[in-house]
Amino acid sequence: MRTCYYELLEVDRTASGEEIKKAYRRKALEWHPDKNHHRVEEATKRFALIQEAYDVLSDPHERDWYDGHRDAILREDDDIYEPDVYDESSSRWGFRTSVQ
Amino acid sequence: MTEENYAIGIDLGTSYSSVCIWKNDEVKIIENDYGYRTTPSYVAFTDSEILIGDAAKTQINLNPCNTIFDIPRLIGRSIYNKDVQSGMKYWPFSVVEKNEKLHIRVKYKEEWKDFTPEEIASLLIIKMKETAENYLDRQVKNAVITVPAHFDNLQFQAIKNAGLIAGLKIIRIINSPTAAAIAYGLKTKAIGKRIVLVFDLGGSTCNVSLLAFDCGIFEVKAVIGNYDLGGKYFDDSIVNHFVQEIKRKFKKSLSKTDLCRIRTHCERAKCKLSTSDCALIEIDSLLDDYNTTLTRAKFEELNEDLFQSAINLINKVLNDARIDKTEVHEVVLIGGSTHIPRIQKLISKFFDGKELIKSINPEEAAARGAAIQAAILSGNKSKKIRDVLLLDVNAFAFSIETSDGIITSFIERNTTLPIEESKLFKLSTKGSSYKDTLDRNPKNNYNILIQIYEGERYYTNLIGQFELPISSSASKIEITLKLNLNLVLKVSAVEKINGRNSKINKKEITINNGLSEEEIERMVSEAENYRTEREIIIQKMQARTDFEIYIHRLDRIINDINNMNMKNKLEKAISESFTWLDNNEEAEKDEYERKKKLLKETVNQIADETLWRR
Repeated sequence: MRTCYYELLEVDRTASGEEIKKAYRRKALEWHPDKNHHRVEEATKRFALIQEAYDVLSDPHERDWYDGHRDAILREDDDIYEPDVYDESSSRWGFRTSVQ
Repeated sequence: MTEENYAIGIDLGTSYSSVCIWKNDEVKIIENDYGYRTTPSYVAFTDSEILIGDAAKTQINLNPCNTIFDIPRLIGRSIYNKDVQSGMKYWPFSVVEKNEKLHIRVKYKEEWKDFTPEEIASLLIIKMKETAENYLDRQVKNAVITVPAHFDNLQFQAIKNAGLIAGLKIIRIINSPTAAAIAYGLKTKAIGKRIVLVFDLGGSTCNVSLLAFDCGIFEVKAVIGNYDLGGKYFDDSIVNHFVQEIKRKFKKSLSKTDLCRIRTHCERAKCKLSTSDCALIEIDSLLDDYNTTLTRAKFEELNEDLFQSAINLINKVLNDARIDKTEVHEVVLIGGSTHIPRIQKLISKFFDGKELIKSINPEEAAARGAAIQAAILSGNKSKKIRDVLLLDVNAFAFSIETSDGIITSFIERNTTLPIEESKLFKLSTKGSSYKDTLDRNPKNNYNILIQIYEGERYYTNLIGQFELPISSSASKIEITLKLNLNLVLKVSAVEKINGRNSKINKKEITINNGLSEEEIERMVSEAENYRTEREIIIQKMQARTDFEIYIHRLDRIINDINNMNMKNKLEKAISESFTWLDNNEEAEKDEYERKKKLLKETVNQIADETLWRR
């Protein structure tokens, strides 16, 4: 299950940009691995999520997109993340291969 | 904070290094055994010993080929690196390739020996560690170290290994301008949000960090660095200028030793020009005591292009962070070369006449910041740093090759650390290299090759690769890059079949291109040997000094002796001891001690005899 970005930062979905920034700073102090020597691994994971949430919510365009697709994202619908989902040819990748 | 966690801050500079500690709620810079707050980043090998720091730098003109400097430019790099190649043109020491790795070849104890840059760096680190230990009077096991901003993953690993060889765990590596920003931020304690640009122009690197300060949180917005800028390059311009002049006037070519001496004088002239308009350059016994003058105007003319590229770097960092120059609240200068008036003028002009901050000691700021970060990381509960947090970024992007020759950016530059980034990829069945593979191999069992690159677009450097078995071309693969605060990169990939992770087809690797564990172990034990050798030499010198002090004291006392018989005998014993000292410059510790004991006995005997006869 994915956690909602708003929940991660503990802010309302109507929070202003400034409120989001403040929440991020508070959460960073709480969860940054440098402040959590006793649980570095857990904190690293958690902080990366907080950072991801902040990166999205602090950018008006990304926040709009997130608000629009939030339900699908929380359902872990992977297709949502493929930017060119309508363009079959460019969304497929041909890694170099070898036969086993 | 426990003793075990205690950490010091070291600034390992290209030209100078310094060490700081956090003590009694304050940062303290530690003076070396010469009483200096910075130590030259020089290591020299002689017929009898290894010299580090001031002792190494002062003898460079006598022993240029075995005196190593510029280590941050060599560490973690291959001999084919562009910067290494350009350095090799003027380094008096020789750089060679051995076992596909860069080595430095020196004559030590009359034998040729090859050292890795990690080993040389470890000697510098040992020196800084000992400086701190002598002050603290106890062992130190951890350190935060600062390096130039453009260090890549390989160079980070190499610095960590140098630490290991020196017996120090490097708990964090930070860029020097970022470290300086912490020192500055903690010192000013201003309230409210501020954008601060730190401009660091040192011996041979130029680094710029842009940060947002807000209530104790130092958020790095962007960092940038350049190797081809700094004091050494300004010296180069002057040296070239005079070499041309000498060639023209005297029609004479110069030896490497001559060049080394000219360089030393040019560096001095450059420093003088920061405060005066003209500097005299006099070089004894070079072309009948060569002397000439250099004006500030000429110096600026010779270096104008270089100065301009420093300004371009500021522009670039602002672009990277998408911050306009008018939004910058403070511009902080650090690094010795920021003393140059023209540089200050150009920067101030760029920021529309803004007053620049020169209040923090440019040579010490980075080490101070490292010590603050060291205190934070060792869990110090001081009120001053309890709510201080550095949000650092990665200086290099990471990319993967997703199709033949197509490299897709995965983690952007200047992303806040630690980072965990996952991406899903659908596999193509057409137009790619493995359509044929599938045709030939109907069972659909094949590997895809995942290649990880550091950098993006014009600069990419393959740093690791692995193969992931795939059972169906209809699957998707999820690739995850994890970059922790110590810049250790882990890459994992897993096949996703109908949205579920495959239990078999998954792999994770940690990128590590540095030295192997065995190599580090060998170097650790060799470093231990050098340390013992150095200790023996120090003890020897101490024993000699002890003996000298004793003789001098006696020499003073005998003037007050009235008994002529006793006086004569003592004088004879003293002069014998002086002669012995002159003839035995390199005696062992035991011999000095034995001689001192003998002299003492003789003195007692003379006293007994003369007093008894009376």
